[in-house]
Formats: sequence, structure tokens, C-alpha cells
Amino acid sequence: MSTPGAIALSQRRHQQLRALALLAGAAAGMALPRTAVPATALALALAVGLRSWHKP
Amino acid sequence: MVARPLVQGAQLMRTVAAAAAHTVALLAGSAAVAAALVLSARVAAHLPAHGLAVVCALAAVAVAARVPVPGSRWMVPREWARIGTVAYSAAFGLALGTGVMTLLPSAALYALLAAAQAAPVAWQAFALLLCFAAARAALVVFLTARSAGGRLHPVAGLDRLRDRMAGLDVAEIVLLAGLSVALLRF
Repeated sequence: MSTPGAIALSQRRHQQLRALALLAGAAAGMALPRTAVPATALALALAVGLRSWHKP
Repeated sequence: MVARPLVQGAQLMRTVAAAAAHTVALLAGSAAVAAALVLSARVAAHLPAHGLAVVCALAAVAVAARVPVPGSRWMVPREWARIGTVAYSAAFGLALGTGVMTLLPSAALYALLAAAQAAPVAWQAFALLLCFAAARAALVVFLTARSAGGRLHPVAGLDRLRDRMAGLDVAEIVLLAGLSVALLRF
């Protein structure tokens, strides 16, 4: 079972990971060719769909 | 030893029918939203690429900072379950498929809707939203198929799956930030 300290540490790490993702995404966007934009949007659609999964 | 399915016979058939109804309705809900966005683009105008870039950037920051975004607070009423398992699953799927009728899954959904509205051709808008719907329905299909295969109960391991899927926020941030910067460059 996770202790409150371990949970806080995990949350802080995930927060740092999200900030890093923002920078990594922006850097990747600099190199993204125009032809890759539709595929990137489709990947986003998949990620949003999977993340928002809901049990009926 | 061969594992026996925990959901069997008529109950399994009902579960499969409910999952199928849920999936079809979810796809239909998303297709209806795509049609509405295509129509809005034809009647008014497509969202310009720079406008889409701004929406993507705002959504990336909102997901990264976990900022609550405005959206519907409506939930499919539990009383609707009285209409039957299959019909309820279909109604639930239809509401989920629209993405905007129920609790907003992620700020990234706004970027997705904006991308569909900005799509230069109609099929791209449908592809985006049907992709979203297929992914949103995928786990129900997976859990039902796993159960029908006789390995586990449909709800076994749900919490672990949900936790893993929640970790996709990092992927959303990368993709949103990437799209935003790329669209500003063109």
C-alpha cells in the first residue's frame, strides 16, 4: 500500500513529466513536416479516446 | 486446467450485445458531431490553422497544469438502466460518442473538435472523430472479448487499466504542443 509520502512524490514526478512533455512536444513540433500533421492529429484522437474511456 | 468464463450463457450474450450496442452508438455519436462540424465549416468557415494552433497550445497547457476546463456536467441517469441493458448501453455510448454531452474527458477534446472543424475535407473530420470514438470504445470491446474468451470477469483489472490510460495525458501534451508549434510554422 502506498504511503502519503510516496503518493506525493509520485504526483510531483508526474507533474515534472508533464512539464517536460510540454517542452518535448514543442521541440518536436519544430521538426514536424507538414505531411505529418494529419497523422499527429489522428494520434491525438486515439490518445484522447483511450484516456477518456468509460465503463458503461 | 481450462479457466471457465465467469460470465456465461445468456448473461454473456447480454454482455456481448450491450458492448456491441455501446460501440455502435459511440461511433454514431461521434459521427453526428463530425457531421455538425463539417456543416458548420461549410456554412460559416473553417477555423484557420493559426486559430487551431492557439486552441492546441491552450489545451496543452490546460492538460499539463490540470486546469479544469468548462464543459457539461451532465451524467447519463442511472434510472435509464430500467430501459434494459442493451438500450442503456446504446444511450450511454451515444452520449459518450459526442464527447461533449457528458463530463469532459480532457481539454484535448476541444483541440480535437477544433481540428475536425478546421479539416480541409470532410472525411478528415470524420476520421478524427471516429478514431476518438473507436479508442473510447476499445476497452469495452477488449474487456468483453477477454471475458468471452473465458479468462477473466469483465471488470477484473479495471482500476489498473484506468490508471494506465490516465497516464496518456503525457502523450496528449506532447501531441498538442507539437501540433501547435507545427501549425504556427506553416
